[in-house]
Amino acid sequence: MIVLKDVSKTFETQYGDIKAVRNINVEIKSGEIFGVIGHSGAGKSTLIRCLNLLEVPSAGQVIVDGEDLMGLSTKALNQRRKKIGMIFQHFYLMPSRTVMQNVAFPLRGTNLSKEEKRAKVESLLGLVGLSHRIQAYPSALSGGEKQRVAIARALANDPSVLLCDEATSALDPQTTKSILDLLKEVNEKLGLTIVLITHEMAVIKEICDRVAVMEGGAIKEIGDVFQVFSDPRSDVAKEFVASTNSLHKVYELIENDSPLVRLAKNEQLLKLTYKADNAQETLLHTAAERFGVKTNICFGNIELIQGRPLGSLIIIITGAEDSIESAVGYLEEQGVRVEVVSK
Amino acid sequence: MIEFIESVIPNFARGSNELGRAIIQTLQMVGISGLVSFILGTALGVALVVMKKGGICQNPVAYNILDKSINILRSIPFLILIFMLMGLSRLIMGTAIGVAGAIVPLVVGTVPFFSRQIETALSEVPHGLIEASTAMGVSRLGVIFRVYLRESIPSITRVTQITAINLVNLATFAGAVGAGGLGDFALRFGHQLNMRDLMWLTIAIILILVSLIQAVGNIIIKRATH
Repeated sequence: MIVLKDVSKTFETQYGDIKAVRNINVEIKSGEIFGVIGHSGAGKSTLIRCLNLLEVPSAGQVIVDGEDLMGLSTKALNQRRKKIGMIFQHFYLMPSRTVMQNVAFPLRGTNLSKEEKRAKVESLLGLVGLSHRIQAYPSALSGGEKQRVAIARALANDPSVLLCDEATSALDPQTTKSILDLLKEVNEKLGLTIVLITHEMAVIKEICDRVAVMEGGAIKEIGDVFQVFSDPRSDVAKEFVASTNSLHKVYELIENDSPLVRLAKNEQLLKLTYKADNAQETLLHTAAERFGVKTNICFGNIELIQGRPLGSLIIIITGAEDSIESAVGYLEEQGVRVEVVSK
Repeated sequence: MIEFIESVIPNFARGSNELGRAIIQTLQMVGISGLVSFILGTALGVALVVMKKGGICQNPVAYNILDKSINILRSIPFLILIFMLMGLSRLIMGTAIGVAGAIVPLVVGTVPFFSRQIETALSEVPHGLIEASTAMGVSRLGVIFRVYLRESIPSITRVTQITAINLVNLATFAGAVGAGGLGDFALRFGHQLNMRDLMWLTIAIILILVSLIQAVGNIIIKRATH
């Protein structure tokens, strides 16, 4: 478990102090995949670097598996860091060393014999699916392969935690997917706690259990990924969630007075959010039949988050005002969140 | 063979004894001061990089002192260094003349230049590699040897080539003011006794020496670059 207590980091520059991270309090549970999302400059990179003291917080405590890192001597901290793996956006493999030597790099100074080290490296490369590249140099590897080697290297000392600093931001979507799958796999196989930071909501959606949304150095919102996706509270979280689908386009259309969303007198534009498994088609159909309204779907989107479907629809509903009201009441009763976009 | 040499270098026989000794003296000067300069210059170059702002042993005061001292030493012309350092040379080497007397000025003339070159070479190591190693729990000493020095072998070799060739030049200079060696040989035979063929011979020998430095360096660079 990782506990951050009142962690702040202030950088002193010639232009004045910059508060990169402000009073962060977070508990990251063992074995979970915890995501931190934010725009550039939100402080997420500084925050993740506080977890292994690459950045020493100006105030607060960083407690990893019950140990306060800031109370450790340099030597003890270096020992501790061996149990906190880290991977980076630009991989940072040693160019003068082969894949084998790169993965063996953090094993220097351990009690393992030469044969044991070799066996360890081979099993790690097997885990990341790169056994055939053991003698290659990093310059001969693709981005995805480099990140796989970096993951193997980060796992060499059997860490309990893996920190991922924008680990997929330099990769194409397909490679990103395969790296995320690998992270998920090591999380499940090794029981590893993973903390990752990203600016892409898709990454959070793909593998995270919980997410913290950062802005201006502070955590604006934190929660279960499904909960944040289905019901974002802060503006910045809403914006990130909106970025994952095309529903927000409706607002542009309204602004441009597009005929697609132009409403007649007895019409309303509604946004419906369905959680879990209430069947949307049937609900709409029943509402229409029972209350004498007509519905017309403009936009729709269904996500699968943590294995649960999350649907959103933008519909135009036509009917008398009290009929619409009753239909909305019925839908809400069934667990559908209804927002009136315009009327 | 002998006839051929005599036809191309008519004064060869008159200078050959001295020439052998001169070559050995030059090799001694370049070899000893080169080795000492390499170690000292590398150490100072590392010190500059790690003490710099943002370095792994950040120390602005020590960095500034070292930085300024190097600049001052670098700006003193070598000719002046030779007689300026005579006292120091007597203290360290026991003499201020001959090959032994040339070592101190050669080292002082080379180290500031070389440490700057090392500083530049090490600065090319991406900061991310340092950060990644720190995150892996590698100690600062480990970062210096296993990352900074190891990862910049090609650049270090390149700047060593340049410095070594520069040192051959300086050693020739030292010879002219009493340290012996090829510079002294060329001056006495090639200039004062006006045996131009021996001057050309000296140049040819130095050319071979420089080419050797280049060749060995290039092999190391080739093998260390991936």
